[in-house]
Amino acid sequence: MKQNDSDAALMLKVQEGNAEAFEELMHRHVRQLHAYVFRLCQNTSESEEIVQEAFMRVWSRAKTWVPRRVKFTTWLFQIARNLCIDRFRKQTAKLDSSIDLDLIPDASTNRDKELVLALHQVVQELPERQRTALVLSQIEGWTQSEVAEVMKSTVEAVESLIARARRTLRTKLQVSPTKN
Amino acid sequence: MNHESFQSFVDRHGTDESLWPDTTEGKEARQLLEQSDLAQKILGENKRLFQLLEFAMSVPHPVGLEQRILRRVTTPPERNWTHFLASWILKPALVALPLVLGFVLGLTSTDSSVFVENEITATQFDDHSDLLAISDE
Repeated sequence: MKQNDSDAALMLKVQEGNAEAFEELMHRHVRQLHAYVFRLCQNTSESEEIVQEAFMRVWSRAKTWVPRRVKFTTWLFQIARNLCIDRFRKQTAKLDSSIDLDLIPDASTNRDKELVLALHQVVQELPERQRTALVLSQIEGWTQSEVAEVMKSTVEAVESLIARARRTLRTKLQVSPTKN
Repeated sequence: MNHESFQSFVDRHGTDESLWPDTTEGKEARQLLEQSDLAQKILGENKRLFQLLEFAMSVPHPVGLEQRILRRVTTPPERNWTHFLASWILKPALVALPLVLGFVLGLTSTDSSVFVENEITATQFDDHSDLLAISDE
């Protein structure tokens, strides 16, 4: 029955201390949240700690969530983003990720593999706001208005952040046929 | 629209043509894409780059993460001796400290007033004995 409930309906139950509803909510969103956090901080243990802390806050501060004000996923990703920013400020997060080049299709050229390694590096050098906007829109497939809600920003500002991030990636990796 | 502004348009709106806006700029971008080999090359290179971005940002599978979160939620926080010390001894002690200090200060000030009073009495007695000595003379 709970599997058919909306996030909002489950959250109302979580607000009453219902652990089963919390489990269902977590099951629905933990992978996507972990992927997002990992892509932001690129650290295995830090990203798992942040995800744990984010869900702990969902549980302990459930009553602060107001259904009509913000979508549950927006609220959850806002919590996780704030935790990531805190870690960046304290500079405790250290990059420890490595790319599994075997994931790239066999048909890929060595040039593609070089590009993947370079992209990985350049994305980490992007400012936090550009990286967040790029990850949510380009990788997670969120609309610009959804990204704007999580970032507490405007659609125009998000569009500009994404454009700057893409331009930086292109120019640093010298992917620009207009120059040829 | 030229190729530079086409590239800028792709930066802002992405490589998925179905998501491009139906504005004048969007129509011009679609038109250029139909007519220009270079525009098609630009879009192709961008698509390839952002496909590779997904590989560059691949995510490891978080083993046992759900169970760890559930355990943290359902298990009450461990209370060690420092918690006990803080909640049962330290906090009441901090509350009582001003009271105790006030009591001690009060006691000290009472003692000194008695001492001063004794001193005054002794002086008065000396004065009296001086007067007696004068009258004897």
